Amino acid sequence: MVFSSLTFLFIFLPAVLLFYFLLPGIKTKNAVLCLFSLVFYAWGEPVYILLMLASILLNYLIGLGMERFPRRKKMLLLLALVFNLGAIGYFKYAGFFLSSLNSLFSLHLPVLQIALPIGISFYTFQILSYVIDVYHGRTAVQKNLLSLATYITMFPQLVAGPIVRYETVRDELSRRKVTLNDFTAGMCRFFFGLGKKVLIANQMALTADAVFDAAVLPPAGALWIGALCYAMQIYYDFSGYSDMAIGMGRMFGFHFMENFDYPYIADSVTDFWRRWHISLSTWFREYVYIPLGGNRCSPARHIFNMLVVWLLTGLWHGAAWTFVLWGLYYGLLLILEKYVLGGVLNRIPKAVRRIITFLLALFGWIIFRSESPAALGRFLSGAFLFGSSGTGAFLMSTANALSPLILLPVAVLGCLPWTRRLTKRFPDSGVLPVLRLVCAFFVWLASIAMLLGESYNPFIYFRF
Amino acid sequence: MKKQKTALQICFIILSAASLLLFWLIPFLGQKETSDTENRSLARLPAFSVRAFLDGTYQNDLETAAGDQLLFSEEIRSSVKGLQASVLAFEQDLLCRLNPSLRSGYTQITEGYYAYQGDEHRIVEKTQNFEGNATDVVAFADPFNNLEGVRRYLYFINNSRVTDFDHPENDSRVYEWIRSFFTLEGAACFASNGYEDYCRWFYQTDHHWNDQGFYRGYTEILKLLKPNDVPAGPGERLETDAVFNGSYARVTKSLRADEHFIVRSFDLPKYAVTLNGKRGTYGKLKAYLSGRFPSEPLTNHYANCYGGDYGEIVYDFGTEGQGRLLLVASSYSNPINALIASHFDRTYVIDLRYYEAYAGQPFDPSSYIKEHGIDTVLLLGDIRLFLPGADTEGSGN
Repeated sequence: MVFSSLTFLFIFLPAVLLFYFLLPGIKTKNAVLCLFSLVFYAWGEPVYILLMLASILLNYLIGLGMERFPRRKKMLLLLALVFNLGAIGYFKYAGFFLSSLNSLFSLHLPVLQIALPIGISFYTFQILSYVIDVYHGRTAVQKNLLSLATYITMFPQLVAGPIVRYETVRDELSRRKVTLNDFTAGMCRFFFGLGKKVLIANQMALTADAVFDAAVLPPAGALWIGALCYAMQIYYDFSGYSDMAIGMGRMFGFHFMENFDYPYIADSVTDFWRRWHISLSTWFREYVYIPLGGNRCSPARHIFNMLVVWLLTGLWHGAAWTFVLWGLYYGLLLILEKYVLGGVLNRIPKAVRRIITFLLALFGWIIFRSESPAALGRFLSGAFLFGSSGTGAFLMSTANALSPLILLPVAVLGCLPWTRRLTKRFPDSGVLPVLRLVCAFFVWLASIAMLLGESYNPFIYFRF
Repeated sequence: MKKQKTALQICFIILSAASLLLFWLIPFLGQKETSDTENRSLARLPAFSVRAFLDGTYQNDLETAAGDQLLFSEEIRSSVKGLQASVLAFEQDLLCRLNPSLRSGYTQITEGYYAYQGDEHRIVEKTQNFEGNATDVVAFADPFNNLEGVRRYLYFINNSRVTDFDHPENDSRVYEWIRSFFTLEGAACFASNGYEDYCRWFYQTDHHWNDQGFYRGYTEILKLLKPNDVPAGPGERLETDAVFNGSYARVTKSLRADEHFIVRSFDLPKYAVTLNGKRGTYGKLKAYLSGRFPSEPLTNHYANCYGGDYGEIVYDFGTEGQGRLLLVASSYSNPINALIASHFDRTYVIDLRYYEAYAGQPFDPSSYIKEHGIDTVLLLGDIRLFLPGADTEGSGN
């Protein structure tokens, strides 16, 4: 089930809110959340729910075991890693690994055709954060199976993040309260997130798809418009989903970490990754980069650490060579920024740095969106080697590409932090909160209208 | 101030909750059967079953039904579509102002349907890029390419869906592309030479060819299959009183046509027809010739007069030695089925859209030609025959 489906908005959400607020007591509320979350997951993946339940039970027992048998902690951690990473490896990477072996060594190994369990990359990372934190003693063992299950299955962030670390919600699992402010702010955030997804991301997707999937390579101008629209699509799609998740979390009394902070105004690649998918960067920093030695080591080792982290980041996004390339692209950019260009960049005006960073991110999205390295080569040759003449004719003949472009300026404006600045400038304004609620309500109505009028509605991050 | 804020927040929550509950009113208000604005049946809320849930059909059906049954959904959908069409027209106009060479003769009537050069009586479609769907054409072509012991032919109809009236020089693009997927003894294309010529062969507001068009098509097909045979006809033409507003008029709700429906009949030897395994009469040509036909403005006279769509129609002319034909076709063949069949002993007309529902299994050309001793295969249709996914809602065939 996706948040922007009518089933979710008009059937699931009212039902879960009704039960959640009618039933008393934190344990009952957790049980409601857990039960509805399982229904939410089973809606799209009736079979893989067993995998998730097994995973919850095993990791719960491992957590208990670590407390009870401290001397066996390492072995239990190893078991958790093998099981969790094994599951993700089998379902997500086995097919890619085998087909890569086949093409590299001209083998004929049978390639597994396994459907990817929705959100496996997200919930596996959440489970791992719990087990690793218990191992290091950073958090206490959760002895209540229901609480752990509620944390892992919680539907707002189950299938597309943000990756909520156990530590973030540990206290709220046993003690939380929903105030009117919380609930209103959460609902508002949810509506704005839905609007980002339905009103902007879905529209930008039409242009991006028309360009990237065109059978005949469009003119260079159209390719760049397509790339820009894809940059907007992926930002609004994913940050919209995160807004909905954070908003719903707040409606239930949870405070998840922010996942985006206006990434397209970043003035360096390092800054971009502090603002984009913050929960994933944080996870990799805490659980991979720092254990590898971080930056407190020789430059060579540091470069190695960075490349490993970015290779894994790329692979986390998908089992394909373009994702590997994309990860390494960022790894190399960050290494360049750290060891070669750091001083030079600081002397460039901030506005120029921002434009350069955005262009680098845009280039990254072209790699990310391409179906294969060959398709990437084709796109880049068209974008850099051929002229732009014919762009107008392409747009005229491709209604799907042209129609959403009216929203492109709105999308670009929405990437800038003007609302934040407005709030900072008029902190005591009584008008802004009213305006915010009115806007949220109209965005909600417009999103429903659009959902009814359109059938194009996939979430990009469900693939991961 | 704090009280005001609280009141506002409560208002916001109540309004939002009221809109969230729109779906839950359906059981009290009852489910709608049809949509007046979209001219289609609406999906109804599905009954729950574990099997349907496990294979995902329950979830899909519920989502479709929610979209169809939600309060005000029809009105909202039609407003959104109208808004999108206006935005598109505005953007196209803006582009043309920036670059006048892009100006086109097309004016959008509603999404996907156009008037050309301000012709107020006619509705056309606009060509798109179909070349991204090669795998679908390959899937269609393979079973026919693999047939052994038969002669294979293709007759492709260039309607407005594959014709760019602004650039008639590109007209053979889609035909050549489709043809490249097949191994054939012969192929031909029903092409028009620009918009004026197109108007000669096709109805004003229907995607089918008119009586001039289908007769021309028949003669060209005969030249392809049996160049030495003399074509039947040209037959008797009778202009009826009925103004024919066809499929495009039905979809766009626009009664633009001013042409009267013309019936063309031919003297053919006696023959027997079997429709989905039952002997019968195909079409109501005789009734039309004697002036008996429905008079409602959106009557589908084409199907009513010349015959509708069936999974399998068999023509038996009771002759020997002329061969047996498998005609895989869409509704374009309806008025010329009998004409083509008159040159063969037996002709089997298969409409792939309906065959499985009739026969209970997908159509397998290989076993079918063996079973019926077929020696010639003709694929006849427009782009929709080869790319069923290219169909637009409501345009029908």
